[in-house]
Amino acid sequence: MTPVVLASLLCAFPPARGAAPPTGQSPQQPLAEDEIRERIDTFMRTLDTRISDDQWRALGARGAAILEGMAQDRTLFPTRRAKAVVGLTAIGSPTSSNVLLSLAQSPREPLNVRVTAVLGAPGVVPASELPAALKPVLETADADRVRAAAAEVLSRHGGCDMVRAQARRERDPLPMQRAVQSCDKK
Amino acid sequence: MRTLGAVIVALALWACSSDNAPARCTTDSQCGQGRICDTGTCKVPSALTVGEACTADNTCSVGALCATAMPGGLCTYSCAGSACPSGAVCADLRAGGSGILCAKGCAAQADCRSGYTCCPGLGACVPQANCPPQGRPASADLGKACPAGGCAAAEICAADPAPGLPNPEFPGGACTAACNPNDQTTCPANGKCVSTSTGSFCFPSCTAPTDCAAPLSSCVAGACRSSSASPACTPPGAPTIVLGGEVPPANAPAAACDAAHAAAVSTPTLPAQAFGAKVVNDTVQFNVPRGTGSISILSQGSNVPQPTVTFGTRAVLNSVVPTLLASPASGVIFDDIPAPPADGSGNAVFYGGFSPFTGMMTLPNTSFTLEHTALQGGFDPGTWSFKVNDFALECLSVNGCSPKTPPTNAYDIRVLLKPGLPAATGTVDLAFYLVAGCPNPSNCSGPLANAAKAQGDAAFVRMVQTLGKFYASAGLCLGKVTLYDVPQWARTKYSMPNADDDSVCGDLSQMFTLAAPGNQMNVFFVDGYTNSSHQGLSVVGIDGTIPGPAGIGANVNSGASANGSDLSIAGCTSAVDIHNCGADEVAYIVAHEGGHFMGLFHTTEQTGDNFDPLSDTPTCACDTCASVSQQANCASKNPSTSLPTLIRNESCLRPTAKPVCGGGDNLMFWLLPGTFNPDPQLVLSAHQGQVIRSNLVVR
Repeated sequence: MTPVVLASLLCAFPPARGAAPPTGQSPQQPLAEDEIRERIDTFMRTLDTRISDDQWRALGARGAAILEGMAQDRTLFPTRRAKAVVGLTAIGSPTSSNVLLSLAQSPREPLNVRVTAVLGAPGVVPASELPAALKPVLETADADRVRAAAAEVLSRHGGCDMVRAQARRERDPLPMQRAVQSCDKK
Repeated sequence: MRTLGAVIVALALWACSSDNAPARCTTDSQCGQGRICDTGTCKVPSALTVGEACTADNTCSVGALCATAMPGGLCTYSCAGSACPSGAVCADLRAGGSGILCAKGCAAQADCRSGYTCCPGLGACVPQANCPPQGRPASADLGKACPAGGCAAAEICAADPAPGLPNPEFPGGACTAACNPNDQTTCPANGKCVSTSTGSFCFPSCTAPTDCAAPLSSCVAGACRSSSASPACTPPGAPTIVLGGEVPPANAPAAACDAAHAAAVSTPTLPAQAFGAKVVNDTVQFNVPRGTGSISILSQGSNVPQPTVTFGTRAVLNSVVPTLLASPASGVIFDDIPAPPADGSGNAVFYGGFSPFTGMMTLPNTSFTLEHTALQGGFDPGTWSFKVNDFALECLSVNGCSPKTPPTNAYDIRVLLKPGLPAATGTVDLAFYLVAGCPNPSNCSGPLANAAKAQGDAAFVRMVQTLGKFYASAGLCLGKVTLYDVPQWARTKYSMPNADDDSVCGDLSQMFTLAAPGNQMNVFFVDGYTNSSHQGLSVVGIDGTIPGPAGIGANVNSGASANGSDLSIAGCTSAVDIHNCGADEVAYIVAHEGGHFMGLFHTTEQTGDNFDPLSDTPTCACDTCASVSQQANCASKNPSTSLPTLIRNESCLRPTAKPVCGGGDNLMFWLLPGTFNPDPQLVLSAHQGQVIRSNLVVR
């Protein structure tokens, strides 16, 4: 492999090529409404290509507002709604916390939307409030998989006592197993 | 594809292509003012014509290549997947040892060049040796085993290509003759001309099986055929959906995954030349019989103690990639070291699969090789070779890459061949694994609740039907569709796999090891994907590698996955509608990921500066096709931008524009279509169809 190729290799990783952009960068200028909507439309239509957190964040608060509406829009395909949740998680707007927690708790919502909302909670709920925010989901969500997702999030955010307690209440230990193991490693 | 990072590495750097041909172009700009790059060769723009004498591709018109094996050279192109221009005839000359190509049409000898006969049986100018006579009497040895003294006059002995590799049409060898299926008088009076994957041949006529005898004991459409013959089908076929039970293991593996032995070596269900475990840097030689239309090199990790290498501060998964692939006539046609072009259609080989531990290299997968292989009736016969190789071995010669310790990684090496060029149609079997759709392990619900439920579910059935319509554009028929349940531990563990972890012990890789043995395209339905931060990920499908290791199961790249959450019959009408019918949208996702499994790349990548290695899929360059206001922010014009313009389908619907801005309606574009529904009959190009039908998973 020539030095030129090596240089290319090293250059391929930065976000300019979209591989795995570092977090924390902000867009240079706010985007116009049309461009925000066009970008969201593009992001909603990806197949197997990732959208980086920076790409989501560039949508800003206006983009978050649009995504909040999409996340709750039952006329959209569940995968589109889950993508909107992913975008909200990346943008991290505090206004999105109620949306995500509401989706997580609702038995009317598709499973993938609910689980994605639970997993995204750390992106929109302040860390100090996360255990209290997810406690109702952990303890009362009707779906094992949703409770398990809450347990996994809490296992990484100071909620291991709650996780262990809930695991003892579960009839089937399998869904909670990964969260409990995560806690046991600490 | 596994990850964008993987794609970037694979497409742009590691998985490189080179064919050692001098001065091969990859872009028009390399050809100078007023010239264009046509499948690797600079040419003056011209209308497509065939029949001229030539010595090299660059003397032929745009779209034509030089068939140098023909008398005086012949400007032409393969009509294996494309129609011929006006005034030309598609001539299948493979039975006579040549290719399938467009030949100049003729009515009299004066219409033909020196060295060519106006062949009445073909209506085209071809060498005399390739002209099948008309009106022959019945032949006593037609379809019978080749006698020691040879077959009758004007007949050939179609023998097995090699010991252990039976001729699928004439197992053990039989007497036959070249012919033209459009002129049945080109066969003996007791014969019928049939176009097969290995050529157009005369078979004994029949009206019932009792008319036939071994080795051609089946009476199919009026001809005695072998039971191993390529099954003809009419796309999209009539798939049967069956249950496969629950895949093992019933319990989660007790031992932690060992990256050096992430999956057991499997024996392919297809004939293979097996070389056992080879250490990187070993050279492997294999035999390619005349008429071989597809070559696949399967490398399965048997002991890979080095799972990553490090460039600078970054760990890169150690991918297996054969290198220094050499053919008898052309020498080295692939070297993994040089950087690949943005458009590899003019290269002999394009290896873009990001394949840690196990990988498959399948040829032909570029337009250059598709065309030349078809023109000469298959790959160069004789002894081929390659070096067993992975990134860890390449790392030794790269500054900034570590470790520098010579690797001892070992791979089980097998070479699998498909005789003949891909037929116009082929059949693929599918297997679906239901990892998704289970909110409560004890009470799964929805169309993917379990295999038995899915089998009769209208949404699943609709999805299969629509999938068949998309693949019909590639000449594919769907065969057997098997539904598998997965054990509950796996359903819990992999329902939303961590797609950022591409390692061989990661969720996706280990989920793919659940694939059943056999030669089918494996599709795992999941509920979604997560990233390394344990949050959701905005993708709806991921393929193991390109192409997938067909013919084996239970390996780390043995399948593709798709989000099945949208599977619903609500909103569906008689027409395919990916925007309102969830079953159709899921079918599109499955078709796209399955396209990767069968060897297809994105026609245009997200930033509009990398393209697939096929010349008949229109490109859509960001810097010329994006809206004018967004062109300045294209990655090609502004490499330092952190948020480059993303090229959208809507900007890529002008395939006849200058410059070309097309491919937005292709199944393998990087995005789902937005404002339109794709025409299922037009979502794949002729070359894409040939790549798919060259894949081992298609029979």
